Amino acid sequence: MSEQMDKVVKETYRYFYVDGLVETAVGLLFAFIGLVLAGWAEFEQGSWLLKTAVIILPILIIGGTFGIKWLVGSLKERITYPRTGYVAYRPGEPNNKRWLLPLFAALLVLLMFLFPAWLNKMAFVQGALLAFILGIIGYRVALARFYLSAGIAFAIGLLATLFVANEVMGSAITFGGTGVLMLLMGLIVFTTYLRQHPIPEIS
Amino acid sequence: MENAMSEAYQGLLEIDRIIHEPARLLLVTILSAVQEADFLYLLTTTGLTKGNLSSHLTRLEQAEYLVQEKSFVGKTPRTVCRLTPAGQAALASYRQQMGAVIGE
Repeated sequence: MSEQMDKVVKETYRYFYVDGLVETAVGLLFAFIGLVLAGWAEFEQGSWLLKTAVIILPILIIGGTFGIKWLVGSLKERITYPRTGYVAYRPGEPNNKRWLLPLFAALLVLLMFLFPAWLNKMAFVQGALLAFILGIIGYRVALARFYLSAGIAFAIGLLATLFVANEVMGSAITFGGTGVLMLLMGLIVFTTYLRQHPIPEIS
Repeated sequence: MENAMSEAYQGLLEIDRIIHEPARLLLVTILSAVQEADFLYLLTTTGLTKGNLSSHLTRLEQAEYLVQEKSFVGKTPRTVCRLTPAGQAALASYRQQMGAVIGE
C-alpha cells in the first residue's frame, strides 16, 4: 500500500516532464553551450571572437538557468495547464537536484582554467556527470527516456574523448550532442502531448 | 487475551474513515506531493467524474484537510486545491496506522 502511494507521488512529480518542455529548453541551452565551446575551440587565440566566447559562456550558463525557469513556467501556463491542469510544486521539487547544474557548469569552467592538463579527459567527465544528473532525474520520476538520454550523454562524452583531439571541441561535442538529443526528444514528447491532449471545453 | 484483541480491534476502528475512502486517499496522496493543484489536474489524473471529484473535495474540505480557492487566469476559472497541515498530519497518521495494521 505504501509502495502504491509512493508510486502516486512519483507520478505526480513526473507530471512536470509530461509535456517535454523542460527537456526542450535544457536541450536548447546545452546546444548553445556546445556552440559557444566550439567557437572557443575554433577561434584564433587573442581574437575578439574568442574573447566574446569566453565572456558569453558563464553569462549563458547563469542567464540560461534562470531563463529556462521563466520560459518553461510561461509556456506551461499557456500550453500545459489549460490542457491537463495546473500543479505547483514545493520549492525544490520535483527535481531538488536542479542546483547541481549551474554548480557543475561553474566547476567545469574553473577546472578548465586551473588544470589545463585535465582537459584531455574533460569530455568524458562532462558526459559522465551529465549522465549522472539525467539518471538521477530518471530515477526520481521513474521516466525511462531520461535513462536513454543519460546513456547517450555518457557515450558521446566517451567517444569525444577517444576520437576528438581538440579538448575544448570534445566538450563542445559532448554538450552540443547531448543538447541536440534532449531538444529532439523534448520536441517529440511535446508534439505527442499536444496531439493527445486537446484543450478541454470549459463547463 | 481479550484485552489484546480489543487493542487490535481498536487500531482498525481508529483508522481515519475520511482518508480511508480510495478516491479521497488518492486525492490526498496526490496533494501531499505538491504545493497545490487545480481541479482539472485532479480530474485528469484520477479519472473521477466532475461531480464525484467535487463531492470528495468538499468532504475533505469539510474535514479541514484541504482548502479550495477559486480564481481566474485571464478569463479562465481555476479552482486550486491545497492540503492543510491538518491534512498532511492526517495522511501521515493514516500511513502509520495502516502500516501497523498490515505490517508494512
